[in-house]
Amino acid sequence: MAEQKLSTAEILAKLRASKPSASAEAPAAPTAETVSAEASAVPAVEAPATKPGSPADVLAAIRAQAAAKGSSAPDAKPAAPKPGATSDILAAIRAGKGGAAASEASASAPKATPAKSVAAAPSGAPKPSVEEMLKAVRGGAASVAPIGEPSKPVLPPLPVKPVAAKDKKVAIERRSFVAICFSPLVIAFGSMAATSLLWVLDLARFMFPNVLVEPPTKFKIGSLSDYPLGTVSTKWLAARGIWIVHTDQYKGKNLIYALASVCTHLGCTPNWLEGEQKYKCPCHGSGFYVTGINFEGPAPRPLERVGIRVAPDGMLEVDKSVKFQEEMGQWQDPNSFVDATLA
Amino acid sequence: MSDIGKSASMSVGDYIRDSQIWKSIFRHPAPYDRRNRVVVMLTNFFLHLHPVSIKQQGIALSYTWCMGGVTFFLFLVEAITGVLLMFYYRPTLEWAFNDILALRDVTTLGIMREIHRWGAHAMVITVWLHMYRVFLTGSYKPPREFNWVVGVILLKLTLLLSFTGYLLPWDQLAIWAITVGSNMARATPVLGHEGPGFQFLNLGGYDLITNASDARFLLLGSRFVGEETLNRFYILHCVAIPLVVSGLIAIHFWRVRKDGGISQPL
Repeated sequence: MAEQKLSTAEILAKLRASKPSASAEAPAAPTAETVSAEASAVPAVEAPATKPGSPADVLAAIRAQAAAKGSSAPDAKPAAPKPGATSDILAAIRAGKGGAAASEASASAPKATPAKSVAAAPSGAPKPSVEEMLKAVRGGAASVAPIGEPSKPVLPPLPVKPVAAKDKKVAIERRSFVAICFSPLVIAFGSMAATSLLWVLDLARFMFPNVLVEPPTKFKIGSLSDYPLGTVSTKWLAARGIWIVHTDQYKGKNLIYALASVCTHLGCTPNWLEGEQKYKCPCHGSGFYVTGINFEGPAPRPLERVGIRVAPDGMLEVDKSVKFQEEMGQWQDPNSFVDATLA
Repeated sequence: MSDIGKSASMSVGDYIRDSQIWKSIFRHPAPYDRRNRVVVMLTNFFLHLHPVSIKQQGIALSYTWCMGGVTFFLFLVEAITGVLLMFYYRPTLEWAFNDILALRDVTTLGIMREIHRWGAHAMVITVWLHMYRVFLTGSYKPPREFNWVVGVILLKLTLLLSFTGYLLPWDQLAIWAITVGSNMARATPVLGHEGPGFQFLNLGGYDLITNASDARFLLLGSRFVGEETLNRFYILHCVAIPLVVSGLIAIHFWRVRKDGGISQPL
């Protein structure tokens, strides 16, 4: 260890060599004898220490040394009363106690950090400033390498890496298609997917009601004589949504037919204006002649007719389930009008 | 004289805060330092969506307009006033219109009905302004593209909420507005009985799409705007669409945090 890098002792030894006046007598003697002693003491002592050789250690050692030579008291005192740091012990060793101090110090098993030793430096001696001490270290140890790296702690041997278990090759045959199809996973997810799909389709069907509450589509509206020529009856407008028109202005024929009261623009209910003889939609102003033909406004086509006939009992019967559009020629259909001349 | 009700060492407030009941409800005391504030924010159900701290310039009003926040606030107002209105409204032909009149004239704090109506109009305006702001600040660019899509869906659902709610007073304005609006569904391609292509859905000579089985029929629940429509729109307006909107709002907020925060990363 001493050969590979400079231990604290070696650095201090070099310092001493550069300062012969300061510490000639006391540490000089034990230098030689403590080298061997330190060789045994250092491993025992340095092992528990945190950073032997760190600058703090060196400084502490220097201070301890300065204190050692400054005071006449035995130099073992700074170290003996309490467990000092490595540097303290080293200083004590050098101070002249030799092997006795070494054994004493090593037996005490120091645990204090170097900081403690710095703080425990005897107050009697004048403490050199940090810069001075560092300069001394650097100047005296110009040929010396910078503070050596911390000594490598002795590690226990690495455990032997266990041999990984070899993959046992299990012979597995290719699964048959049927085996995959009926595996639990496929059955589980497949049934869930099928159920979800069925539920969604059922939901769509659910939203279409089967029962409609509507007024009847076929209803009787009275006899032909109730609707004289040239009139538009609003009798069934509110309840059934139709006008009964008896006019001869559609292609000169005398007809009775029922117009649905739904504007062909966007579906509002037009008003029959008796004075002006026209249907006028209040929503957007569409206008229709008495026959139902559109002539103004945004309506694109005439009003629609609904089915009308003379029932067997002679009454007029309207059927709103069928509609007839004039622009498609459906007003020629005999179901869309009643010939009033035959009444 | 001794202080009755007060121990010598602590005040009434401390006594309450040390009690078992208080501690069982509030798992953390009020934040008293930075670290504790983080803990409270992360472990509180109501606060955990918020960042613990946010950059001040990120929420500058001139940049964000705060329209998203205002829209959410209006949504909460609509939800609360809507629930309260439900106590005094019956969605039937016989009662719908009269109940609305009663809410206005007779019910205490019937101003809820006006707040609900005005709030709905305001919410539509603010949601458009929010969309406009997001577009202007480029906050739809990656990684925020999906959040933009969620926002568009929320916009459509907001408009649907307005559409379905409009019918509920059952006045002339409502009936004809919904009649005209739903008539458009007749002309849907393939799915509308007056639109192009409905003939394709034809099974063995039977038209699948008729005026009693097309998209408009699905929407209205009947062939014209009547009692079934009122019921259907009531459920859509009060339950179905709000549920979907709530879920999407949660996703929308989550994505704001995860995609890089409002305006900038935290």
